[in-house]
Amino acid sequence: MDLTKQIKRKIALLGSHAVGKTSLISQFVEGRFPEKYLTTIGLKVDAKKVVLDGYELDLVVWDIAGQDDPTRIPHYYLNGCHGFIYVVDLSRASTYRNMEVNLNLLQGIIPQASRLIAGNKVDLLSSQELETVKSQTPLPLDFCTSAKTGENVEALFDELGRKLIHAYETTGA
Amino acid sequence: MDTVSPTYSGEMGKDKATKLDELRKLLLAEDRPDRDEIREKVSELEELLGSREALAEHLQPHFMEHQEHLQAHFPELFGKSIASAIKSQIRDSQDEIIDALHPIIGKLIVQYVKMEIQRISQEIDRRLEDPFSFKNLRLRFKALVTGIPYEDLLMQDIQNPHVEQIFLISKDTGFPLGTYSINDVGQKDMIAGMLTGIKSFVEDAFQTESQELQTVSYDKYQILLISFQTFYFAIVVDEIPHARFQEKLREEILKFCEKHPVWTNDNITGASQEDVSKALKEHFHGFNEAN
Repeated sequence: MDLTKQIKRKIALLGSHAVGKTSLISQFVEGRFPEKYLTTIGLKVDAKKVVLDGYELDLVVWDIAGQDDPTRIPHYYLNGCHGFIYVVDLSRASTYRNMEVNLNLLQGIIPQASRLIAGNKVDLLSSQELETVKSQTPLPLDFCTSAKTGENVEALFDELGRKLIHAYETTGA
Repeated sequence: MDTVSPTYSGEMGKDKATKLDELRKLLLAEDRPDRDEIREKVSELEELLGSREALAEHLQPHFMEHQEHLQAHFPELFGKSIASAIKSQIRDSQDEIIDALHPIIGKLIVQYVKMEIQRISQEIDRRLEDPFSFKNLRLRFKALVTGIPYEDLLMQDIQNPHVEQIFLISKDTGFPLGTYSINDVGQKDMIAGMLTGIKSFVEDAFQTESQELQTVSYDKYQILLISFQTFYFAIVVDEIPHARFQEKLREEILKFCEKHPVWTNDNITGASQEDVSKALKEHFHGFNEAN
């Protein structure tokens, strides 16, 4: 008898343009890094099943076109969102400078959603540069990832999965 | 200007002529520079007109200026005349135009008709290969009862729209709450999510508060979208569904919602996907045959 519990969760990747949201999803879902950059127009939906902590988690991943201002994201894209990853580009300060303000705005739009902050493109920085960037971000980064090399990508989604399971177990949401 | 001198005879005449000549010189002395100047200009003009290169060089700037003016104001100057000329030409040369376009349009039409005939022929072959199938027996019985020839009923049936897939989707999350499909469909979560995104985008873009996107078309398929408060049905139909077919489909959807009231309120997400899918299958599996 299979005792694995099945739950389905909608998650979104948010952040400015060209921070690597689509590449992170591509690395997570297909295990590959798209060499050619194609900007996301509107929306793309992907899905991946993850087995985690006794749960079979169906993650429906909404890749939403980059927006510097979260209030400009169409509200219906975020409806019913259980969790999100806010992605910044570690090599571009403009993508994390307003992080705190943007996350507060998102908190107002989807208060129920679990969240993680990912600093992407870590492969472009030396360890010294990374330490400098970390000291400059307004909020601490949960993960430093590289969609290109795959570094920490699975760990990032697994951690969000754990947060979603925890929310499900504690609040049923 | 040339002058004509009067003639005189004798000494007296000579004297008079000399005086007159002197008088003429005196009177015309003032005009001489003007005459010389005019003669010089005439000579220049003759030279200019006589030499093609010199004339071209002289007129070139004027031509250029005129050309630029024409280019800049072509539509205002000639637009009406050209449009009128083209209209007349098209009217007067319809046969020639048809001859010119026929090979191109004709090929497209022939290709389309070929494909359709091939499809219908394949479908007829498939049906005839299995004369005792339920579908065929039903049609033969219908032909017997109604008096309509079996061949006509068969053709009518082949061109009938068919429900291929039914998705019951949450408006909020875009999750498929239940699905029914004649053939196996992969990536149901992605399809339902993208449909929800497209539907919401169109409705938001056109600011339609009370209206909702009702159909999405691709190739020979149409996706009919039937919305309720918290969820909607996306029904993939093979061929373009006619009004009667759509009406029957809506009736069945309403019957389904009446039969499963617990799923037609906000608690629909409480029902498991499997239960809803099973109910959809039970309700719709005979729909194509019955219509």
